[in-house]
Amino acid sequence: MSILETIKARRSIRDYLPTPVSDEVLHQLVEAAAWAPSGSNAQLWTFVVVQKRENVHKLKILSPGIIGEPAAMIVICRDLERAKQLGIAGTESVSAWMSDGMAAQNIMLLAHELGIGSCAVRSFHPRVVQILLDLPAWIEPQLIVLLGYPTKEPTIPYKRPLEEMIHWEQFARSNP
Amino acid sequence: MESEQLLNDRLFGLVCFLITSARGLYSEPETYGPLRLIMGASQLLRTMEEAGLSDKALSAIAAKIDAGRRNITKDRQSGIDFLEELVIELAHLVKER
Repeated sequence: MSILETIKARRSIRDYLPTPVSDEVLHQLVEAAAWAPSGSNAQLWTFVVVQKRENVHKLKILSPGIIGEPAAMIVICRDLERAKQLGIAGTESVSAWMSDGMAAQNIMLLAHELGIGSCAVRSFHPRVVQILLDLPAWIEPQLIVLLGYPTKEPTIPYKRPLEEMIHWEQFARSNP
Repeated sequence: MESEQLLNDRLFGLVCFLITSARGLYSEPETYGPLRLIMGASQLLRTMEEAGLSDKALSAIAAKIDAGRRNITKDRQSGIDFLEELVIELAHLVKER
């Protein structure tokens, strides 16, 4: 599968089989995340893999954005101590947010290639996740990537036509 | 005893969902309000089914919610149309009871 084919075929999956995702695959997915670009190459992220059923369930019932019962989750967190040491913004850093998003995309694309469904979730309470995962105050959860084998073939979502979004050299106003 | 524990777990899960949703909605998109409410209703209906407290009409509503809930975040009008249909169906259900 080419990269573009993988990108176009990936879907946000919310219904998962209970089949576990192996440690080896989870390790590969974190490796893919860690190879994402990051602002100033700061790599402020740290990843918590959650796969024990009871821990997944606890995170699920306290996170409204988690629909379905995934087999595993990768919680992408930001290390504020590292940010401080590097002398860069931590909590409010826009580039760190973007970096987290790119790390999540790497996870989701590789997961898709391996036949695993995924969904990035931001609808959770960071303090709740810190409590459940024993995260210290300087480790802030930013995104949760849900993982699991899909129960069914997902439908193709609506995508805006490319012509509506692409501009060459200058912004073209079709309706001034 | 086992089913009582299951009911307890499901209802506790629903309470967690409702409270964390309420907190989250201050910083989430407007359409997530109706979405979370309808998902809470869906969870409750499924729990009622599992506990043997549902009936054919309520199960049909649960199925309808699961099939159409994505309309809520699709666009405003699709969300309104979907929920309007559910409300009308509920009205008939209440009238018949």
